[in-house]
Amino acid sequence: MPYLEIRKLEKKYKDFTLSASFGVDEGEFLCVIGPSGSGKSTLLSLIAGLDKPDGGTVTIDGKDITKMKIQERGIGMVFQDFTLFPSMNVEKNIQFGMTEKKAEKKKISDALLSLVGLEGYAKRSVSSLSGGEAQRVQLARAIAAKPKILLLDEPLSALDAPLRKSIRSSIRAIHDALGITMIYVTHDREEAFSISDSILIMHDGKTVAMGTAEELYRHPKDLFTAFFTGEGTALPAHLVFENMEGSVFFRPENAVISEESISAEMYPMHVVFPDAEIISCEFCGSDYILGLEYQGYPLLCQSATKPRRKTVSVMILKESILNLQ
Amino acid sequence: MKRNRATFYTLNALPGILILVVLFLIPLFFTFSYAFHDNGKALVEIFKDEYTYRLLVFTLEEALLSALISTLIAIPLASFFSKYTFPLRRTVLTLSGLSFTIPSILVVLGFVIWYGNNGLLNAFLMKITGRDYTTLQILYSFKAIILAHVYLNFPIAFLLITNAWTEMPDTPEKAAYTLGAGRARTFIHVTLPRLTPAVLSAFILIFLFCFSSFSIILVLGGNPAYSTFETEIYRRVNINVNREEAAALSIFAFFITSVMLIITSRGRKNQRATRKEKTLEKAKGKTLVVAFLLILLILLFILPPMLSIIYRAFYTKAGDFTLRAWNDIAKGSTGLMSTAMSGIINSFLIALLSSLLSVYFGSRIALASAKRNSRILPVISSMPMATGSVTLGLGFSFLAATVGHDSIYFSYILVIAAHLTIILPFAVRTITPGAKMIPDSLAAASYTLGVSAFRTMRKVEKPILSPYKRKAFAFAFALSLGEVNATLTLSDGHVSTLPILIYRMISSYNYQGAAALGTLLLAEALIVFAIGEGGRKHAIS
Amino acid sequence: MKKALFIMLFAFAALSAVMAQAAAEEDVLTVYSYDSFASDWGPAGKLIPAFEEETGIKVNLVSAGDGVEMISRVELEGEDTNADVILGVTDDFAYRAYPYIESYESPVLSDIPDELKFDPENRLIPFDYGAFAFVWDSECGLDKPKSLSDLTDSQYENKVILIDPRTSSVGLGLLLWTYNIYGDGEEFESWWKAMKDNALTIADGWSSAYGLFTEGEAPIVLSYTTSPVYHVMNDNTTRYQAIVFPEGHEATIEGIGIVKGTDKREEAEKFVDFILTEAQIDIAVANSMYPVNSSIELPDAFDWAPKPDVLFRSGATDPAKVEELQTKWLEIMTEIN
Repeated sequence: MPYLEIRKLEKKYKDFTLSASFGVDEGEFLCVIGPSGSGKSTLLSLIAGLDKPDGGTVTIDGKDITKMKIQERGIGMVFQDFTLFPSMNVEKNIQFGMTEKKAEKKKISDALLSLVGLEGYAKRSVSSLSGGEAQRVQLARAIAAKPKILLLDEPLSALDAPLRKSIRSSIRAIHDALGITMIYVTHDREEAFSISDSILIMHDGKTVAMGTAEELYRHPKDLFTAFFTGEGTALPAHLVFENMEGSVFFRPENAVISEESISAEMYPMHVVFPDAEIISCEFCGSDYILGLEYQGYPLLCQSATKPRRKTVSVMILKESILNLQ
Repeated sequence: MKRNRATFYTLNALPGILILVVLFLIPLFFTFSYAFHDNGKALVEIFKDEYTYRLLVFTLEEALLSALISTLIAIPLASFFSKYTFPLRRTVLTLSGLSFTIPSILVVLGFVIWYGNNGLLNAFLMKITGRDYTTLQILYSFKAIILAHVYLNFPIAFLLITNAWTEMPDTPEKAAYTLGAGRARTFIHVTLPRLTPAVLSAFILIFLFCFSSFSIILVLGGNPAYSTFETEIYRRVNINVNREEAAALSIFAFFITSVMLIITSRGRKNQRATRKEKTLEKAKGKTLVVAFLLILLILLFILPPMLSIIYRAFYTKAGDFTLRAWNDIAKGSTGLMSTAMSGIINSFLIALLSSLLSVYFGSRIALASAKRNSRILPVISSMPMATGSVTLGLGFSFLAATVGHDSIYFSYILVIAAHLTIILPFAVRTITPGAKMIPDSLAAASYTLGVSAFRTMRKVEKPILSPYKRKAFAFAFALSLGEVNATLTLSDGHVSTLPILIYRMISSYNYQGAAALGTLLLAEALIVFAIGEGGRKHAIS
Repeated sequence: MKKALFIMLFAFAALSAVMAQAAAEEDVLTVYSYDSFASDWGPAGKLIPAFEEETGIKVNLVSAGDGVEMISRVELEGEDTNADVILGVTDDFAYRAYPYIESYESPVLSDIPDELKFDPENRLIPFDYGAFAFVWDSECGLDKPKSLSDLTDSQYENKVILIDPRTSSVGLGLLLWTYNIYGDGEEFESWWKAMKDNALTIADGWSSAYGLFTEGEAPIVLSYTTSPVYHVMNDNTTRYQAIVFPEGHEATIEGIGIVKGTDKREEAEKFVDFILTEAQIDIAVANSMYPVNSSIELPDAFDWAPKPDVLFRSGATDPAKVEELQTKWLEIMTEIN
């Protein structure tokens, strides 16, 4: 049985309904991703108890906490907004949720400050902190209350990219050091891939897929997951295979181009699209991502070299093609 | 859960609301019930009487105009005071709250001494122009009414708006500038909408004050055509003694003020968390000159009538220096220590207690109404303001008659409770804009740390309200210090505050003695304000 | 927060100390009066201790606001009222007090002139009275008005301070005064029409009107015949004088009465007698009124408080008529010329 279990959790709004079922193991780092408006933050609010569900249950460690008060759930949360208490300094903020004795508190808060890389910030006023520092203090504060599970609601979305990278790796490091179960909401796929043990994808209030980053990338179960976890091409299936329903999907790295004209017979393991026209060519460091058009359909391919000709042939390994709905 | 949390805040506000209900709504209900005697005959007559509507038109006219002018003057000043810091800034803000403490009879007196046809200003003008007749005829006209109302109420708008504006981050304005919007456009589309709660709050407070004003209107207006509802209610209560008609008129007035209150109570909440406080710019060069010009302007407006009272405490009409007024106070019946001193102490303790309580209950009500985004709570707590002093007085005399007691302790408690009822609307109105600026996520963060709702309110939310509470305290204190009617009705004459002594002095012809007591009253308020401001510097947040 | 709590506790403690000084006692004669009588500076400060010492009867003096509020309170309290005596009901409101008070044939009644005894049943016994009059600054350079009608002369334009009859008993006094002299017809109307120009302002009450007068805003003010006494006694000046008009003055009479069903009838009678005899001078001086007891010698300063020869009693006008006159007055005063 998973450590945190969400079963048929439901929340109805006027034009939006959230329903979720999934489990998180103890010590796991789960990322929840999805486009904005997919219900990620609502899901966290329901787990934390900030909002009341219309149905379903939330269990932690076998205990049903659905009806429990926020304070008794043992769920910590780091918010996207600035939620440090302006009436207290950094140290007081961190110690606010602690139940230890005074001397002990001081020790722990100092340890936490160095854990988040903010030694010497104890007496600073919270209004003097930069955005990144404030989020680190929020993290330290949440951990200080010794939550069973820590929820992070897009904690880095307001920060710039390099800062985001460095803080997200320190969040992962803290997770590994303390072994806290974390649920991390983000809309940034790359962020989710880099720090998660597993990923939950949400769409229109539903949990659509869950798995490790690799699983979701390589074997998405549906088109939405496929596109949300990375780039790729979807084509009507009948265009490629006769008698096949739905769509076929492949990643750009599985599509190879050839500037020589080739025939399908030469490559029985591949599907070949001859005479595809190059529309765009983007350089992304190690490779080029090419946008092509074949019989009016757009294709994405990857190429190690910049093609010189306008028209090329595309070859896709048959076994890398997924048939999705 | 959200609902549960709102319930917590409601429960917290309940004691304050209960006090209002017992001390205010129940007596009011009984007072109003007279209107329905005889099948509501009085009510029907009032509604049919054309004069009622004439009163209504004038009352609305003067109240709206006074409120409008007060806020219009206050906004540009507040914009400057909330942007720059400069020497004397706090002093001016403090001084502008002083006019609140003066009982209306002394305001009239101060006005006459300063602006009167034979007042100091005219004497001065006559000297420089060499004329021997009144140069500046201000009093006894409609403009005098507006002048006095603006004088009395401008500080409300000035303080409330400055306070809210200072707390408001200016990033949206900067954003607007970068989008190429000019100052005027930015102000109208960006600043004003965010400032609206404070502006509305000030506007409605001033409106209600002026709606139930009448002595200033009659004396300084100089024409019985300038009559408000309150004049007629006072007449029915005190001169013709027709409780049914008084109640009927009161209901009519109450209905209108309540409608105003409800219209302006649309609660909109600012949910966005703000990370940085706005730091005030230091005024330098040209701005510093502007600052001093503004200070001069404000002081020239608010100080003279008050200084006139102090002047009269030491100088006779003929301009001779005398300490007679002070000797008169000292003589009393049992000496200075027991009359003026006990007045000072009584006033101080009653004002202190009632204003502390009003801030205590007021901040809870403000928090509850912000959390619930409630429209009804601010309306309920503002009801005493919507009622007008005469009707309020009726309610209190009903209360005095019902509780019938001999104990002096009880007199004090009743007086404090009555003051509380009167000043609570101020506290709530002053604190609510602050409460609305607290983002919900702050409390949520605290709850997820396992901290109880009560501790969250105390440790996280209340401290944010501190600057608002401080302002509310100053208002409430000043208002309580100047209160006369409720004290008189409920104290059985055993509680003598300074304003009551002032009225007694005047009723025995001693205007100079009254001015001397008024000086003491101002001094007392000033000292308390100064201590309050001093305390602010030491308070670490 | 703690600080605020501390301050509050401190204030409560301090307040208790102040209150403890003034704790009330049991078994006392409870007297309701208006505030200016009961205050420290009112006559009570001196009189009550004197009475208590003389008779051994403890008095609990309750200030129930102004005269009207005092009656309202007795009405509201009804049979449960604590009051044994009510002091300071004016003759125009006497009819409202009658249901709650009982007759007392005081031995002092013989010293009170008959024209002052407004209640034939002697439930309310007059203890002082005053007459409304115009007080003027004799150094203002204007002619001294000799009659009410003189005031309408154009030389007094903006020179008179009047008081609103809707908000002040003094203002109402003038309204009834003009009614008693001119009736409610043409003359009444033209007098008030003329005063629209001559009145600088129409104040809400006596306090502000007289304040305007002492500040020199206008040289003539509606007040009492006794007003100059203060200036003689305190400012040592006879500059401000009350003008007596031969056609007569409106008067207001204040009465004292014993509350129906009191169990302290005997003590109450002693108190009433005390007010009608020994207390007369102090009350007259403090209230700026005339004593009713004709055997009383007044201080010299009262030479400047001339007694009018003819008095109209305010209470003699029917309340319904009063309202009619007020309405008429308002019409005249707000009508555009």
